[in-house]
Amino acid sequence: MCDNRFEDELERDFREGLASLPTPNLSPGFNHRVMEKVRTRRRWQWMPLAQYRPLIAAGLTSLLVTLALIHLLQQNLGPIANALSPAPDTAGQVRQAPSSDALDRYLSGSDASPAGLHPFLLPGWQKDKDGRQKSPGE
Amino acid sequence: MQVSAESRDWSGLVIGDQGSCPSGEEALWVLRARSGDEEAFNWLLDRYRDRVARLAAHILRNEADAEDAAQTAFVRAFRNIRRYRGDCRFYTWLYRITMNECLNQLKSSARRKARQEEHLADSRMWQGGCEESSLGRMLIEKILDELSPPLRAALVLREMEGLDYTEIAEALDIPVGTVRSRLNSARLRFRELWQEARQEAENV
Repeated sequence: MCDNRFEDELERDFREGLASLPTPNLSPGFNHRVMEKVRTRRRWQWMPLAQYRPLIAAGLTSLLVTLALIHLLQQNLGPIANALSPAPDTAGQVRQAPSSDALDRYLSGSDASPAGLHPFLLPGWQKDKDGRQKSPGE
Repeated sequence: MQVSAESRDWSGLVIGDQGSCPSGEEALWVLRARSGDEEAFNWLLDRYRDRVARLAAHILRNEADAEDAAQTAFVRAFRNIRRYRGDCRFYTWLYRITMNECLNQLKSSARRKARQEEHLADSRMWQGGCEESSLGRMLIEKILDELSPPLRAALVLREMEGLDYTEIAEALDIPVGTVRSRLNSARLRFRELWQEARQEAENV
């Protein structure tokens, strides 16, 4: 009987104690502040992403493909571009392309032998032992 | 409708009339919220604002921090509402987010240090003058101060929010057995303090 009363009082105080705990007073505009933050996120992330996701994905994919193609082309065209660019001569100077004046002088001049054409040859072209012109690949 | 006969709507949300699923009106508001309806967000805010704030306040033991935590918890919940699959009650899911937010705040030692003095003053003020309060209230306040945050949460969820053990386990992400043992510990501690207080009163 006494034990029961003790337990009842204990339980009553326990319940009363919990029930009397205060509930914090939230400041006015709590809902508004929450909604403002949610809206900001939706404005900048949800809506544009949802609406334009396919477009953004397509754009990014095409950009990557283009970059990859440019990289591949650069790798494959590198040797050809090098071959076509002016090669340094023995003195380390880049050989100048023949000017039209030099060509005129040659045509009007007396030296019409193949050796006289030497200044007009593309860089990298050389004569072989027999005096024939030889392309760089040969 | 039984839980086993629960239905899954077009958006994948489980809806039921009882058990652990959201039911009836709330399920419809949650569905609307999932599609970004602001009226639905406001409905959920009005329904759970005070409960979330109270949980946060008792875990953090500070009213100002509790409001921050409640605000952040709601923002996170609404931003991630599409992740809510409806396999537990909405408030259980919301309480879990609140609990995590409160623990994050407690872990932030820099913030805790900066607010230490403010906390002490606010705590005393918020507890509302213990001289005037009942023995039960004083003892509960003392217990809440002593208990670890997860224990506090279990006590508040069970005794103030009326959640059952399974729901508390879901909200705190712990086994049901742990919930029972935590609540037992809290009750035993209350009994010890209560007996001490009674003896002191009798001696006086």
